[in-house]
Amino acid sequence: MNKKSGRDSGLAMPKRRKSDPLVAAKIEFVDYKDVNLLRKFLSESGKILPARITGTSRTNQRMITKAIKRARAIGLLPFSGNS
Amino acid sequence: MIDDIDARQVEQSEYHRVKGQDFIEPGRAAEKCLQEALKHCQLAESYIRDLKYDKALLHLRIAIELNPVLHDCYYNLGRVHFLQNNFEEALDSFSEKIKYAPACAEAFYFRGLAYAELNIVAPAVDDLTLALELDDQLAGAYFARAQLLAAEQFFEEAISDYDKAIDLDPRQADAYYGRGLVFEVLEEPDKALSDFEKACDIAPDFADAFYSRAVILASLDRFEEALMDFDKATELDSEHAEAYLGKAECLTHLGFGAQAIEAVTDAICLDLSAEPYLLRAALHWRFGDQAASFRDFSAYVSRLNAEYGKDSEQAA
Repeated sequence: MNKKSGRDSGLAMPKRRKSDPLVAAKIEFVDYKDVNLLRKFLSESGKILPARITGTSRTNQRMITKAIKRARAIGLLPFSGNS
Repeated sequence: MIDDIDARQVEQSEYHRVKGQDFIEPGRAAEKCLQEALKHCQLAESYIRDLKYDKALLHLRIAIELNPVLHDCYYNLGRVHFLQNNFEEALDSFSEKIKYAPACAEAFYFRGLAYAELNIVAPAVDDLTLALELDDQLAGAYFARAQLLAAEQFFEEAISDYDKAIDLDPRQADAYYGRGLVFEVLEEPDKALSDFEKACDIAPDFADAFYSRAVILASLDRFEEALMDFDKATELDSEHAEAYLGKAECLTHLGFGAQAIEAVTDAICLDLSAEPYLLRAALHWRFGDQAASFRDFSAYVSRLNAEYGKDSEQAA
């Protein structure tokens, strides 16, 4: 077997990624009008991506969810689809 | 024996002794320096294995001073910085290693991981790709690249990388879990469920895998099974607020009002946002306790006002 990621070879499988993209980009507040940023947290079908995929913290995920819902309510973002 | 020498003593005695020979025989001193540097590098490797990073760092610095082109030292230095979460220093060390050994797949791999940790996505993907071009058996590189691609919404490419990571290392629960998440987003619940099941089988202490399986089961209206998984998730991670909320949802569907309210209360203790109060207000209303429902609704409104007030301040 030639598996280089095995722990015995010294190259262990990396940890699950948990770095928060908002923290990395030093974004402390998500504006509901910042549609380009918010789109990064929506799937093609318009659903909010789970934090388990994006790596955002619980607090930041809540802030993003709130901003997306507000943006949807005033028509800046679609409820479904990526139009 | 060099193993028994304290690193500080090494710095004072070995280094100066070896460097001192420059004045006598420059050729032999250079050879001696190389030998000493190699010894320090090997010693550092053993300290890394024993998780004694500070000692490893000292020996690596001495080795680099003795022989600045000994590129294995830069690789090990990078590993130590990486293991100590000093990712920027790790980047510099791996770059130095790559400068001397541009065909080292492991150096590209670790530099890619360091970029990923710093959330610098494009160079991270590039480095992992280069690592895989040099060595296509690096399951970890496929896995790391898959996670980055999934977060950037390149789902097909992410699935392909997860597939390769799983082929190379089929006992990695994280890879099944990651692929399951992608299937979940792509709305392919059967495939997602199958992957989460594998993740749960391989790692029975993996709370997020149980939570994710529960989410899928609940979406398929299999509330009893979902409830068991939410329970398991809260058992494994007692601070998993989302799992308590999921549990409440299942209990509501199964008609256990009191237990559902209890589960939301657990979530409220962990989650400071307004939404759980609204959920509990709705549950109280549905199960006939209107006074409690009004109380929770008031709490929801006041929290919401506080949140909006905070947001307005931040926006201003």
